[in-house]
Amino acid sequence: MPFVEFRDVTKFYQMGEIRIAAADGINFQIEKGEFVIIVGPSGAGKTTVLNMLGGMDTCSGGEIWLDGSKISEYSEKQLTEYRRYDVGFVFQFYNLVQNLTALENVELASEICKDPLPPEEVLRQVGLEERMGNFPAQLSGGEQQRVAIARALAKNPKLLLCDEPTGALDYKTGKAILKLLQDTCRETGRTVVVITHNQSFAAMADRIIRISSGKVVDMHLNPNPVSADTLEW
Amino acid sequence: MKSKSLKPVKASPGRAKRRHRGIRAFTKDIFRSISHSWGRFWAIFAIVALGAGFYAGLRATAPDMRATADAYFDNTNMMDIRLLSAFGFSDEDVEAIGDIPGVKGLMAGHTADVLSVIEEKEQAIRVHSLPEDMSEDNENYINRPVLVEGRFPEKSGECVIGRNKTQSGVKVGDTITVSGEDWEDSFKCRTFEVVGIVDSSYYISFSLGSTSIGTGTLNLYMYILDTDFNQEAVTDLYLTVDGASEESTFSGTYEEKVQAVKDALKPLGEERDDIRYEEVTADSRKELEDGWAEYNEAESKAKSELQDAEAELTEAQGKLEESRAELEAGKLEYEEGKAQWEEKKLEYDAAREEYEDGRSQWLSGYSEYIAGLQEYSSGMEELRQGKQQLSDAEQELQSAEQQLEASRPLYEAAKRLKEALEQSEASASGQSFAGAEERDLPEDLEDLLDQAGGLTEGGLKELLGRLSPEEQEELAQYLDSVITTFEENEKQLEAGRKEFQKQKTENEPKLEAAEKELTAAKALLDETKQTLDATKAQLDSASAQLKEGRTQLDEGEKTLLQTEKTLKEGEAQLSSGEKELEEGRKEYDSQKQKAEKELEDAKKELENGERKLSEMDIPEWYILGRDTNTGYASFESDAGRMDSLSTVFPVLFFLVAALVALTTMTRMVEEERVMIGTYKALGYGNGKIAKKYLFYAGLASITGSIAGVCLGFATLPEICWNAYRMMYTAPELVNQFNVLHASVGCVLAVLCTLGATWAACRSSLREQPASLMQPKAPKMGKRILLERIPFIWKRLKFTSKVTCRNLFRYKKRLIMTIVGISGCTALVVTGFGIKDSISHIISNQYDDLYVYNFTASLKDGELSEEAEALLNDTDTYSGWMKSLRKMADISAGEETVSGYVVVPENAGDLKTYVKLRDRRTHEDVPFGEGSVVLTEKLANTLGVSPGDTVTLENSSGARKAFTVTGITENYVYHYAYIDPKLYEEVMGEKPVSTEVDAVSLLTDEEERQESAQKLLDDDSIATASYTSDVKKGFDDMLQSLNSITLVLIICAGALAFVVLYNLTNINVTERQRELATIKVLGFFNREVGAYIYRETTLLTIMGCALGLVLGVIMNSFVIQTVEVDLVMFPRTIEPLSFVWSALITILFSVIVDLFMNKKLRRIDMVESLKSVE
Repeated sequence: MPFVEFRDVTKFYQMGEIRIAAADGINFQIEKGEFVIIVGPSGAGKTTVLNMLGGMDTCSGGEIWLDGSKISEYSEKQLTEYRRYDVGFVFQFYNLVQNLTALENVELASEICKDPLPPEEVLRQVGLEERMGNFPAQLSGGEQQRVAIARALAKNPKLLLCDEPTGALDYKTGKAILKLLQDTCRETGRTVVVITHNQSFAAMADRIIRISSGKVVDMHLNPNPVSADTLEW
Repeated sequence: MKSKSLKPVKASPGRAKRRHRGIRAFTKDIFRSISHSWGRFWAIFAIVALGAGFYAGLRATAPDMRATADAYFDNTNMMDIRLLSAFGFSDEDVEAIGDIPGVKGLMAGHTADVLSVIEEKEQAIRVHSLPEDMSEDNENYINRPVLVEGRFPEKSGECVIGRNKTQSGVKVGDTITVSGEDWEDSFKCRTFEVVGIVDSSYYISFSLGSTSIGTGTLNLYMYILDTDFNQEAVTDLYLTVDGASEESTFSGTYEEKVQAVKDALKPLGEERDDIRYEEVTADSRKELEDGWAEYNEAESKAKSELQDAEAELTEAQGKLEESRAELEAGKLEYEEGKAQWEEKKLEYDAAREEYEDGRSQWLSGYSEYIAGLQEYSSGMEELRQGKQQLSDAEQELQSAEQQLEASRPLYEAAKRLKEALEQSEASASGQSFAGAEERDLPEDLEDLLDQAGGLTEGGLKELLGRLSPEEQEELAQYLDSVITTFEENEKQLEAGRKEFQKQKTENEPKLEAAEKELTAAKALLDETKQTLDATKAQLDSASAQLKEGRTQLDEGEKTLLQTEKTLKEGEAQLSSGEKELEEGRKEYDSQKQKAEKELEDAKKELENGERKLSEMDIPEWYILGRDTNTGYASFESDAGRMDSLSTVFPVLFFLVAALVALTTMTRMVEEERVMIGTYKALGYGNGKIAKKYLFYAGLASITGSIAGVCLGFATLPEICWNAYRMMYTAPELVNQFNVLHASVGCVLAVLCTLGATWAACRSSLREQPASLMQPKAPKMGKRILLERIPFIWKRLKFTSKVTCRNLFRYKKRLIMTIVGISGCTALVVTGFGIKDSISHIISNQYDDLYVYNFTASLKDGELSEEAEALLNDTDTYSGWMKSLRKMADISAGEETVSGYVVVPENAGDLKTYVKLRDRRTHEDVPFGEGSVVLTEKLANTLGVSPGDTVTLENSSGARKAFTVTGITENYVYHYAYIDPKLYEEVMGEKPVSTEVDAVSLLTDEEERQESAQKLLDDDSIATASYTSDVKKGFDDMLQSLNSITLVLIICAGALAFVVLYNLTNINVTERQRELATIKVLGFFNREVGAYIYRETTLLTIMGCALGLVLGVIMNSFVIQTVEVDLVMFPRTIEPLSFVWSALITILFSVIVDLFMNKKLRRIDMVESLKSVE
């Protein structure tokens, strides 16, 4: 059984009289430890997929499985617990608490986990040893994203979900972040799912899932993923 | 927000139309922004409504109160000016006053203060006159009472009485009888029937003021017909002023109009005063002259009367002395007589003794004589017997001789027979008695003998012959016995004769001697008898003499006794006479003293009168305005208090409201930063853009303020008025729509909000569109001060650290929230504080400060022994103190306060019954010789402290100065405690106790009543009551303020709620993204809630703490402004009230949190994925 599985997952939004299908029967599987890229154009429904996979949103139909649990049937509380213990998020805009230092932002997450990694350790891993005491406003975008990643990792999640992690970053920093994510995946064997509209990231993934108009149009494995360093876009 | 930012873009085409359509779209945007943020709109609406409503409502209360009172005064034609003069007014005075321009109505009336016992309590009543013409259009009918029940008096002896819910239980139909004997000085009749109950604008307050009689407190007022007054001069003049009723009585223009008339009255007064002075003093002088004449007359009369009396007394004394001498003489005589009598008595007794002796001698002689006589007669008997014996013996002899002689024939016969027989025997032996049977043989031998005696010999032989031999034998035998017997007898007789002869010879001399002896004895006896008889006669005469002496003596004794009695009587009479005289003398002395004293008094009085007359100033008219009326003055000050209350509270409300509005609008502007940029980019002018927010805020604040003002006007004045009505007899509130306060409230509210909005917009509008379109750089996180103290910081939990950091991150909001919440808490604290103060007044005063719990007033300064005994009963009372307590004007400098002067009989007693101590430190305030202790509020009002002087008027009106030695805690009424010695020394008059304060030990209500009744039954006690009754009365009065307090608490609570809701709302909205993020991070709902609430709670707690402190300050300020004149409100706030205030604030904060929970749940996590706006 795959680590993550979407089976005919649908999601509809009722906008007045119009029903919009954000996900229209999505099917895919992800194995444990894979670095997955979900790629598709704006409005294709990849954020919806991410929301559902991350337990931030429920599906209208179909089943979502993670590590043998049927997420799609979770109650709100279970979903919260799921987010709390099993999923790590990396946002496009980092979403750091401005009022907390880098370290404290990481602690914010690790405080609530069952088996967190030591925040300092994680920060060191993401290369922010020196900047632990700084507030987000004192950090560059890349550094902030590193903090965000550290915050996600510190929870020691089963799944690391990244929503356009480089979207707000310049090329170079973006690449560095991607490298960090890839390394994390490789070194810790954690399943990492990156959502992006950038096709060129596909080369570094173990598995590529292409989504368009609420459907998976393609899913294939990449037997030879390249290092993020070598990516060009 | 997405749609909002899109709208202006749509409204672009057509330059000509752009403006128009732009405006439309713009307006739409405004309305949409309202409908999209109802919470914010309502928050502004509510806070403005609260602020404006509270302000306008409270502000309008005092004007409404004044308007109500003014209307009441106008309707009842209340006097504008009252004129008083020590001498009253003459008709000419009245006429002259009426001529003054500006005087509209003029009522000349009479007033008298009297005492009457109503329901067993002595009550002081002020009696006013009603004019004859009581019609509505008589403008000279001033101070018209308003009938509540019954009717107005129509004839003499009827009255209407003022409604007074605190003291009197007088009903229509009751009668009121004036106490005291001098009622005729004032009235034509003494008893008045209550025919109606009235309210009077002249007595608007339930506390009627003070009087110079009774306890000094006026209890009731009543109106009677003017014709029932017996006073010559007009005592009271009431005036109304032209045009004054058109003005509000509390306004300056009213004051001016009235002042003009007052000014005109003054010179007239001075002029009339002289005339009146002449008039009155002429009378007085005449009176004095008459008095002197009377006095002189009385003096001489008294003198002559006294002299007469003295002469009489002397005469009586002379008479008495005479009688005494007579009596003495009588006594002497009596003594003499008595001695004589006693002598006689002695004599008599001796004679009597002698007599007794003689008598006994006689008696013994007599008995001797009797014995002799007896002896004699027994001798005689013996003699006679002897003689008898002799004669008897003789006789016996004779009879024996006779017998012998008599028997001799027989004997002889026998002898012859015997001889015959012996012969025959020899011859005839055989012939014998052959024929015997045929013969008659005598039956017995005697008869035979008898026969034989007479027979001759021959017969005998024949006889014998007839006898048989046996018969012869027998006869012979018989004849032998007869012959022997006869012979024996003869012999015997012979012997007897001899014996007798012998005896006779022997006894006869003896007998003769005895007879002789006896005869001698008899002679002796007869002699003795003679002597005895003589003695007896002597004795008998002595006895008769003695008897006579006895009667004489008895008579003498009787006479003596009589004399004695007479003497005694005389003595008694004399002593009673003397006593009478003594009494007469005493009486004379006392009469003399009395007369002298009376004369002295009369003289003194006259002299006094003379002095007074000479001292008498030319009288002055007292021109008094309404403000000297107790009710009016206290109403005015209450209204003023309301005014100041309404200035303090709303300011706070406004401050908080403005802060809230500012925060809210700032937030709104910040939220719409990008849109402002967009508008700017689209070419909208700053003003235009600002208009949106100004319009938004304006709409909320205008509608809010209008709603608030309407609500405030409708409720607050009514509530406050109803509270005050417990102390005033005033009609329903005239609820005006106070345009001034309404507009001030609205404008202030709107300006505040708009100002805040403008301030919020300004900085944003100044920025360039480009930078506006950029998300505002998030506020940089900062290390807070607390982190520099690792000691604490390290110990904080992570979440607490976050909370702390967050709190200080938004300093503006922090301050706002704290200020807002502390304001609310302070208001609540103040509300509770007022409530506490009010409820503490009573317990502080009556439980803490007054040790005594029972008060009885004395009728005339003295306590009867019975009453004293009752009070000394240690089962009922643990102690008591007599003291003088009277209402008096206490002055210092310009200030005059009327309060009670208390002078204990013994200075040392006071502190046993009343605690004197400093309010703050509870330090004892000493009271002893020379002490003058004022109560705190009195001292504060007078502005004096220990060492300063206060003045009091003594009964003759002279002002006397006392030096204050201490100030004591006190809450109800004003008291000046003065040492009795000092009082007497300074005032020149001895303090006369008016009441007794005691500590009753009884707890059972019935027993308490019983023991009070016992005292009341005593003649020396006028009233008796427990302080608990007074306590109750006060409680009722002060309850009125409680409802105001409740309003305050509710309003403050509402404010707290709005503030908290709004600020939390802003907090949540502002940090929506952050909250969404932590939700994504897996925070449970409660953790998300806690994340926010921790801050709110902390802010609430800080606000609370600050609010409690502020509350204390505000409370003391507010208390000062709301204090009733006679009462000092304790400044203490119960610890529990702080707890409650905090709890109420926290409760609202919890309610707000609950509201927020919903909002927090609704935060969309997807929000976290969006870019920063």
